[in-house]
Amino acid sequence: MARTSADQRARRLLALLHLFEPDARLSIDSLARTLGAGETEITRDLELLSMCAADQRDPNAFVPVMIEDGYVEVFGTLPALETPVRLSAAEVGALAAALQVAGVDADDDLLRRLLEAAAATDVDAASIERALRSTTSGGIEALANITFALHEHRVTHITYHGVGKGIPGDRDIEPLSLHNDKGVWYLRARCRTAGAVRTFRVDRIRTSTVTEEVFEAAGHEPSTTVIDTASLPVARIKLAPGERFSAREWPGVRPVDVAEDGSTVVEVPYAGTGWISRQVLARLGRAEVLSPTIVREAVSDLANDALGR
Amino acid sequence: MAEATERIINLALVLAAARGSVDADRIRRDVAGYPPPETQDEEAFKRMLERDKEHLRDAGFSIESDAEGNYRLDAAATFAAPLQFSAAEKVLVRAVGTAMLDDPSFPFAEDLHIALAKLAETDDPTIPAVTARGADEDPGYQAETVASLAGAVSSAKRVSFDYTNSLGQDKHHEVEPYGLFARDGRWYLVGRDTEIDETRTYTVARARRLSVNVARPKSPDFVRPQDFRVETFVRQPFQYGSDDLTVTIDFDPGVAWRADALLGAGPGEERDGGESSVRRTVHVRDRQRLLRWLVENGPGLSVVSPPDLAEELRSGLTLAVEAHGGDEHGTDLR
Repeated sequence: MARTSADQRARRLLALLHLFEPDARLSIDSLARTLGAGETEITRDLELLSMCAADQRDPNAFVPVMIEDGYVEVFGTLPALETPVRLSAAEVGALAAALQVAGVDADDDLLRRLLEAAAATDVDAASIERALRSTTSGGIEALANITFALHEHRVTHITYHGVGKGIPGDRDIEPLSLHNDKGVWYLRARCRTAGAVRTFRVDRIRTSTVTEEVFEAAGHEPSTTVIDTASLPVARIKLAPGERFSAREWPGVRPVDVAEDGSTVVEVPYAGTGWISRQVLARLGRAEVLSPTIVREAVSDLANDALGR
Repeated sequence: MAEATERIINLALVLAAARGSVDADRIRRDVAGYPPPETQDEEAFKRMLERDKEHLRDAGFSIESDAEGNYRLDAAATFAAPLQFSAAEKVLVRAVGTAMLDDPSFPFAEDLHIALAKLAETDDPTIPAVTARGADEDPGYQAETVASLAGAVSSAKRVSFDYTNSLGQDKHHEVEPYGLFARDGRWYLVGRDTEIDETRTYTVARARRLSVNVARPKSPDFVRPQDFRVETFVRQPFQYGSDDLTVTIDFDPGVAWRADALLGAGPGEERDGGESSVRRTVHVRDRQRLLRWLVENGPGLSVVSPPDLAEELRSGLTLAVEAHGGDEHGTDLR
């Protein structure tokens, strides 16, 4: 484990001080998670904090904390620093990079208000964004609504533009988890309209309204992958000589044969015919579905639709 | 180690609690952790104090000093004002921040932890189930390398690295780093290659043996062009390559609302008719990749001009129909 420098330990303790209101009882586990450190390390740091003072000769000028049974008990008033310190340029940069993934740009009102209230006075978002950009798909509005609904366990009404669909459709959903995969946000939700758990791309949610209805949140483990490809059916696809493929585009793809003419047969896991047929069609005649028939037919239908036949 | 941490916190408390300025003698006398004059000479003490003040500045403290050696905390510049956020905005910032901390490819985790701690209002651990995996190729390496590059960008220090391009060719590069961007699971560096005197984009995962110029760390090696904006280098997949054409695309009414999400906000010509369709013009460097992109994001996207590209799309779709139309599988694909 990397050793934390003295200044870094001081910096993270100073970042926490404003939470130490008189009579507060704070969980060390949650403070450790907030700071990304181990409980033992944070306990040691908090013990050290209890020896810090604005005046070592005055017993009332010490940081009034006591560590007991996994909690920090605050038994008095802080001698100073009861207000949070502004964010340094590096901290604003980190936060801006994270918020960009949520679709918050330099000129977004949320970032403007955040910087005005909490950033060092010599920091401005535009100068950070000139040099740093994390792209994401979709706007902030749907993501903000979904995140709030997820936190509050609220049923949400969405109009969703599914892959391959010409127009959006209405759904009532119970949001379960959100995952960002390579800049694209995916929502896992129980869809009341479909009567099953579904995955939605957030950038395809055209409108979202958080209702007042609270749903029963059963245990749901958030995933760090969008789709578990191991459990999916596979399509056998023949690719023309020189036609490239990658697991970044087609997760779980597996080459199964290379013919003498250089064409390749691959197996591609797919969750729905809408996605796989569009992927094959996008190769514009340089890919052919060998099986299953349902995907083969879906490509043909899609191509005929696109040609207006 | 504990002594230095304690001393820095004590210094912060003394400066914050003081009604006015505090001089160096008082700091040495009252701030626990500074050795007494008998064991540390004046110069060593001043160097220690300067280092500690620098650490506090890095933590967000604004410390003023005068010629007489008095120090004062600028409260207005040091302490945050209450955040005027709605409940949804608070949840969003916390959830997205926590998701990025969970992502091994996020390069600024240490600073983000501190930022979120400063913005926290309680130690409430309930956060929505939000996760992230920004990069799929060697995420830890990308995070570490981008963190180093970001430091070089902000301090304007030159970097050098070995690089394998998309054709598999290896070369050593010396670059003045101007900016960084992440797209589709990869981090990219934009900077001036000093050998060819051109601004280039490099895939961070393909750079190895990165070295940041450490000579004169407080002195910049270069000045970034005033008009540099890293976002102008963030392009669509079809905007990399050797083709060079301008293409007009129509988004049908049903999908017109997705034009900005797909291409970024930009000037678009709205056409008449019910819920309007949208017409957008894009610069294309890879015509094949554009056609693929149009189909992947369809239906409802079509090429208006140039006519030969529209025809190329049509003949590609026809080939797909022929390949999938009959009972015969295993067409001779070209």
